[in-house]
Amino acid sequence: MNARTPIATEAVRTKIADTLTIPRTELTDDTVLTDLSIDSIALIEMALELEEDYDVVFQQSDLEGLRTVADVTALVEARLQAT
Amino acid sequence: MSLTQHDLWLLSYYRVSEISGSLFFGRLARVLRPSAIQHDLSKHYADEAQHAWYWTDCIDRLGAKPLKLPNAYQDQYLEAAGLPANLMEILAITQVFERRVINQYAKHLALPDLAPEVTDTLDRILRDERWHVTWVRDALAGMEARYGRDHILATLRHHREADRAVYANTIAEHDASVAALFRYPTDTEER
Repeated sequence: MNARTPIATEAVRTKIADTLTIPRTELTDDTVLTDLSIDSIALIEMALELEEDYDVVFQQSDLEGLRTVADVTALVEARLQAT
Repeated sequence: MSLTQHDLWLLSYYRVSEISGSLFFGRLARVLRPSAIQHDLSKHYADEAQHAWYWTDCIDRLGAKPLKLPNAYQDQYLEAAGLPANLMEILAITQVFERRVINQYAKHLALPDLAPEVTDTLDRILRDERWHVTWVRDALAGMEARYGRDHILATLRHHREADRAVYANTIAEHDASVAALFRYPTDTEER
């Protein structure tokens, strides 16, 4: 089974868009987070939202490695599979 | 009693740091789910905003206007310590930072010949700051089952090291009279 399910991907993308107050239609898997004109606290907000929603814990190194929306989705799924 | 330029810079720096703290905690309070931590963090956010007002009013009562400063202590802090990735790391940063604030304000309060407006403001803020340390300490203790006691202690150590580096940079950046007030504390003084 593919680790990434369409439902999880869409849900995570929606959560990212809501937290960063960006229209959902503007986010694709390839969207680069630094292109979104968001500050570092927005990244922390996004991490907290995802951790609370999915009951996972991220590490500092996890955030440092995030480049695109797909990276965020992959991180959530990796943490979900690890629990 | 009028403010020297050094005094004005320092009180303005306190004001900007309180504003930055408030904005940071306000954004986190908006994201968190209902819980004891959400409750206390919301109070913490409100306190920091109130402290910014206290400093604004204090400077005003001393016949000056707050300086517009580009950076707050916290800006350098996240750069030195890295972005917190979870609630425990946020609280660990907060715990270390609040201890630094108490240490700094207490040191300032001990200076001779302070304007009564400054003494009054420091007194009022310190009462809140002590509660900040207490609630964050208790919240971190409640997270031991989820994150592990050793991991929490290691995170606190990491942030203390970052704090020392930022504090040392702050001293180095500013002139001699401010540096005298911001004298780098020994480990014994921090405990």
